Amino acid sequence: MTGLLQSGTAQGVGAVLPAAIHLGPIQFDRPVWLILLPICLGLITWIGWRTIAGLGTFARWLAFIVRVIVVTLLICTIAEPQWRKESKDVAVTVVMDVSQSVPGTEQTETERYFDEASRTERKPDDRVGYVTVGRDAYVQAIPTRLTNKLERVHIGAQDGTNLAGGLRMSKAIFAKDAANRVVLVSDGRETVGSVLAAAEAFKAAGVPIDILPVKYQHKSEVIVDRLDVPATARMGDPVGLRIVLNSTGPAKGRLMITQNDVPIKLDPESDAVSVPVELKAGVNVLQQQIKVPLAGPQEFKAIFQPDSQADDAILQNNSQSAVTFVTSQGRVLLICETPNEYETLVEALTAAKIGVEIRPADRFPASLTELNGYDAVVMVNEPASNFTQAQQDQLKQYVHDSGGGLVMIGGPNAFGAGGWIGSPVEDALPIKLDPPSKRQMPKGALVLVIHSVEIPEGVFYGKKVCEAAANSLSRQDMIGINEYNNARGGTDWTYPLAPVGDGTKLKQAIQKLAFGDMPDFRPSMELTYSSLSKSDAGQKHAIVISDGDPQHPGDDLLQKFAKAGISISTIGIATHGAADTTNLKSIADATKGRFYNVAPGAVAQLPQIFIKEAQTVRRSLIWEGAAFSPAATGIPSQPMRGIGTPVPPINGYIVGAEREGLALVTLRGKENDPVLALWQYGAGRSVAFTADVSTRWSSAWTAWPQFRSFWEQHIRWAMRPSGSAFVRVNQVQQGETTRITIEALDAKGERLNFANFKGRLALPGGGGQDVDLKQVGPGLYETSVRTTDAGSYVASLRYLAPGENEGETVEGSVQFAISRPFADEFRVLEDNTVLLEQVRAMTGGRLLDADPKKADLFNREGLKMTVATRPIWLWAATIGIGLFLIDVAVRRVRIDPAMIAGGVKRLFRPSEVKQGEQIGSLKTARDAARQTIKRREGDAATRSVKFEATAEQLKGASLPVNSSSESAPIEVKQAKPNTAEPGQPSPDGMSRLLKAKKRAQDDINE
Amino acid sequence: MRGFVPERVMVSRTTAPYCAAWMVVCATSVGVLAGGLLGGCSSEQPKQGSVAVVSYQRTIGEVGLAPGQLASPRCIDQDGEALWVIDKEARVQRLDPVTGTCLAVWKMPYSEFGKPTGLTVVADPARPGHHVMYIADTHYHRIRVYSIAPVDDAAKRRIKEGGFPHEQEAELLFQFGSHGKGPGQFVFPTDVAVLHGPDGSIERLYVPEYGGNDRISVFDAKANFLFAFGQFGSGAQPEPLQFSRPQSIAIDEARRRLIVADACNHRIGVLTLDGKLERWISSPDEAGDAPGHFNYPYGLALLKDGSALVTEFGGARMQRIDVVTGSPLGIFMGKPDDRQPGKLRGLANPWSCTVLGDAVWVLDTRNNRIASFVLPDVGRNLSHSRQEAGGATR
Repeated sequence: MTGLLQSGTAQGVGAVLPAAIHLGPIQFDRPVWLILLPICLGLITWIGWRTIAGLGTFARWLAFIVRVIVVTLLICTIAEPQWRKESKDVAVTVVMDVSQSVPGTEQTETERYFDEASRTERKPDDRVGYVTVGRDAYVQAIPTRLTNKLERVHIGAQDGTNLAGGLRMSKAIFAKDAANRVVLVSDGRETVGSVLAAAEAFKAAGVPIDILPVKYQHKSEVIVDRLDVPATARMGDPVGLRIVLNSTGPAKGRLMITQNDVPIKLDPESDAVSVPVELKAGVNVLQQQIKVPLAGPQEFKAIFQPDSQADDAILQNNSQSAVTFVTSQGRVLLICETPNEYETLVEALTAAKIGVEIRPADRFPASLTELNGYDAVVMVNEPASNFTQAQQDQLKQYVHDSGGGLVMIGGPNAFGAGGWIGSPVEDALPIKLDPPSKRQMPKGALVLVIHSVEIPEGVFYGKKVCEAAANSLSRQDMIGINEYNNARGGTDWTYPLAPVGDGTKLKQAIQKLAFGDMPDFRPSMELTYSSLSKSDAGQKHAIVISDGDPQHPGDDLLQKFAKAGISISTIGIATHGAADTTNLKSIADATKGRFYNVAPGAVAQLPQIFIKEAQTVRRSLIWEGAAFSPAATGIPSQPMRGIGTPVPPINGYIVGAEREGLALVTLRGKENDPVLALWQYGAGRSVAFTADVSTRWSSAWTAWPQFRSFWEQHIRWAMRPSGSAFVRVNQVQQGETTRITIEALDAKGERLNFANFKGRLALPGGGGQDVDLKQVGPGLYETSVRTTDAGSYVASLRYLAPGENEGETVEGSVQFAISRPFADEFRVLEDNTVLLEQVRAMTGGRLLDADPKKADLFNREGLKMTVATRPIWLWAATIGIGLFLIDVAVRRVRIDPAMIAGGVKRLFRPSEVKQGEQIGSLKTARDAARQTIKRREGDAATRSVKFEATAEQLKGASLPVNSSSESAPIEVKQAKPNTAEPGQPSPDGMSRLLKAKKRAQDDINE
Repeated sequence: MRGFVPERVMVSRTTAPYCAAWMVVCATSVGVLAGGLLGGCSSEQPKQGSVAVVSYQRTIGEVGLAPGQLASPRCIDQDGEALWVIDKEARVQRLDPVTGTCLAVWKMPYSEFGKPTGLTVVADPARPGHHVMYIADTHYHRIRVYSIAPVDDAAKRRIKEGGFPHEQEAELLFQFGSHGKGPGQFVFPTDVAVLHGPDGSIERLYVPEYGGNDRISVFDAKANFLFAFGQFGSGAQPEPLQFSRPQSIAIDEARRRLIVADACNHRIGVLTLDGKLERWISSPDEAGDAPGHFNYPYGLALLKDGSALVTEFGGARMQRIDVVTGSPLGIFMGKPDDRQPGKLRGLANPWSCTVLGDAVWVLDTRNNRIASFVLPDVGRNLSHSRQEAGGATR
């Protein structure tokens, strides 16, 4: 078989040259060199045949053939030959939609279908693999020969359908030595990504995507489609709620409305918190008026409960929520754990008529929406470990995207000493929490001992916690990571104890962690002890992450740790029960560390634990000493206006570093450390005060007459301007987008024109996007934003408009929220086979038969069989060189087959000569040899007769024996002298040569 | 143009040796070059030890959750015909050693807290053809004992034709042990060794454990506690006898010896059946890859000639050692290729091994497969039948 694999254009020549061709199992990657083949073979035939003319017929042909082969092999060598091996097997990867839009019964049915189909018409080496698709795609089984049915390992969240991710994942696990097919099993309702875009890659690769549509139609379904509330309202005003329900048929049920998760009594005459409703087929609109006595964001939720399950197939789409922002005086949320830390501050703010709500960190607002009910957040001596990663992200988003204010006040648990280094909140602060490298400070040393994390995505979480711990250390601190290396069969450092530095190498090392199955804690602990005990760090700590089943390190070693003042905290993840937890707890107890038992479902709190543990070595960032007055920098700033200096003395603060850029440092401590700094961060503002507001470090401040002014001015500066009561916001959800309309009025109630509404929209998954509204009518502004993901979108806008008189401006702000309580996954009432059909048509796939026995999963038609190539140029060159030697041998060595055969025959023929007859045989041979010699001598004499004297002539002359000089000269007839010129063959020799030449010529002619 | 015609050498009796030498040179040149090519393409070869030589036979199993597939298999034994394997998905599988076909599979009823790490199968003296299976249910701190029925021919035929293997749990005879450090209790039981009486009946059960309670407990056939010996530590003295994770044990019934793989102390212990120490082979200080030393010896299989096969979790190899002298008889398979990171040229974290017929079957745990090697010099001596009195049993 010959085929042209690829074509390439020869640049400049304009001709199309084949990039690779194959002849049967041999492929040439540079076939252009094969052009030499006819040329060289032609030359060999023309020249070579003549040069070996002197050989016998057989030898001549043999030499010619060998030479042709040698030249052919050498030319093939430079044409880069490859040995092709074409696969005959088929690997089928089933991409199965397990999202919640596919009914459970259908999922079970499709699993059975493929269990049976995979056993039908399957060849022994055909393979089956599975990828499941929910919100994310996961490989359940790579294509293997023994896989039949789907065994679910970890399928992740099911409230979304990422078919594109599923296809990409299937491509990642393609069998390399088999032709691949993909089967897409889905209802075609994707909510994430684009399956058509993903299918393009399959089309390009020639891999068909077969489809098996999951068809359904929910005939009885009720969806709470919308809950419309005004985006803003005044406190005490009634708020109108409009609930839109879609029903496929008549249905009965009950409706409940909650405000901030508290049910509202809709029927005053009934004790029930819900009211009966009767829905007709189609759109049903219900309205309700509710008074809002509270300020801040009010979240309303409408929940429909069907009387009969038969009327409503999907329960996840039975609720909707919406938020109304109720305007009020400015409010501040103060987060602190102990009253003596904040009492003086709260007194000052209350006196300044700033509304303060005090909460401990564990009651921190659960959502960004709730957080936006406050104009500023004040954190007093709060460590990072008191906040989840999500809360920290929200706080950053609150400042940057929602325009909220953040004031962080120190204490031994705040700033860098509180583990905030590397956190999202650090980004929002006007100082860097990591002290400058030139600052000489005692450092901490931390060693992480890593064991396997045997949970789904365990490696991911394991690396995440290591990064969290590493991030919370300062660059001068030391960190080391060791683990059991499965491949090397021993414990070793992944990152030897060394300063964190810029963290680049550390993060690279974390990515290399293999989370080996450690048999024994002791070698790791010995490494840890050896390095920490030699370290000059002030604080030394180790953290062990494990499932708890390695062998105990031994009490003797733990005593060494305790004696050296090195604490060990142990974190058990998915431990195997009491024995494991006991094992880990005993290690922590023996060294005055802490033990954490983290269930598989609570891994999200792991980074917090690591940050808290890393905090142990962060105490070195606290400066405490003789009281001094922080130096005022003199930089003019609004909050410091009117505040007299010097400020009262402090005797402690947390060391940080000045941040480049627009941050202003207004008070400085020792070695120019920032004590008070502020800046604008995104849409919001933040203030950092690294000393405290208690008697610990700032006892002189409470008696300072300007204490109240100082804090009032700083907190008011940070607070977001209160929302305008003259702006009404409406929002309408249109598929994946939400249309926002703002109706703006001035103080007189006239329409406000030419205002520029700009701001940020905080997204539910984190991050934000800019929002810019365009005026579409008198006092009317509009824009649309994409709201595809479920969750709350919080918008914070500011506006500036020309005032009534020239030079006057009107400014204000507005906050509102868009709520998407459930994913589009649950809005679906029927399948979308059309999308699957498009994928099939694009890639040349098939629609699988509904009968699994006729599915023909492993159909080979149209499949591009995988070809594995292996270079064989070395073989060709080797054989060519070997044959070249044979070529020389053929021309130089005359092989007489008859003689060789005779020799072999003699070699193997047993001797017939009997014992004692050897001498006789030898004599006979000797006689025969003498006869032969005599005969030759006779022949020679005969041949030389015409050249020499005859015997008779020689007889007649007496030969002198010991003759004297006076003897007469003897006349001897000399042989005829050679008359030829020197260097010329004798005439007889010449005649022989001529005869030989004539014979050779005759041979050639023949 | 006439080319140069070289003078040819006539093959005669005189020149024949030279011609033959020339041909030999040609053939050798080609051979050397081809050999170089072949050598460059050669795949992994087992290392040869000082005495014993094993040759690679085959591997069975592949990664996955289907019957016949394995997910980090950790314990293995055999019933004279088939292999029994438990993996990290807590699946107990009976595998055909030739084809790798799964003949039976079930999942341990409780596995949320952890998976078994020890498995021993012996012939049931009371029911000919049946076997008794002891599973060290490590993280549930107990031993579960099952009765195993032979696979009938009809089932074999059905499976061969693509049918499903038997997926029901075997008959549970009884279980014993609970969490604790008291007599008859376990922290992390790792294995079971069975001692037969002269009449072939089961006489004693030996159960090692770790987790700070590192000892070996001895029970009678009905799991009544008899005595225990050993404690956590790494001392080499007979008293107190100390272990650190005795991961695997085996009984040489012919010589009345108990062999213990003291994994975290990197040594092999030779004890009397009453728990008296005869000798340690290697020591914690000698942990490593030298012949006769060990790197986390996890698995044990005894041969009738008195030698033992030891699989090393950390060493990624199997060693054959003379239990009497402690001298190494052979080292099989190597470590990962350091020159090509990520490429394994041998076993990866082998947990356990067993001997069936003239082959040893090694759990290549991290490669999710079972590798078999032929033991030509000892195959005829192997006591692969558990019914054979005086054989070596685990």
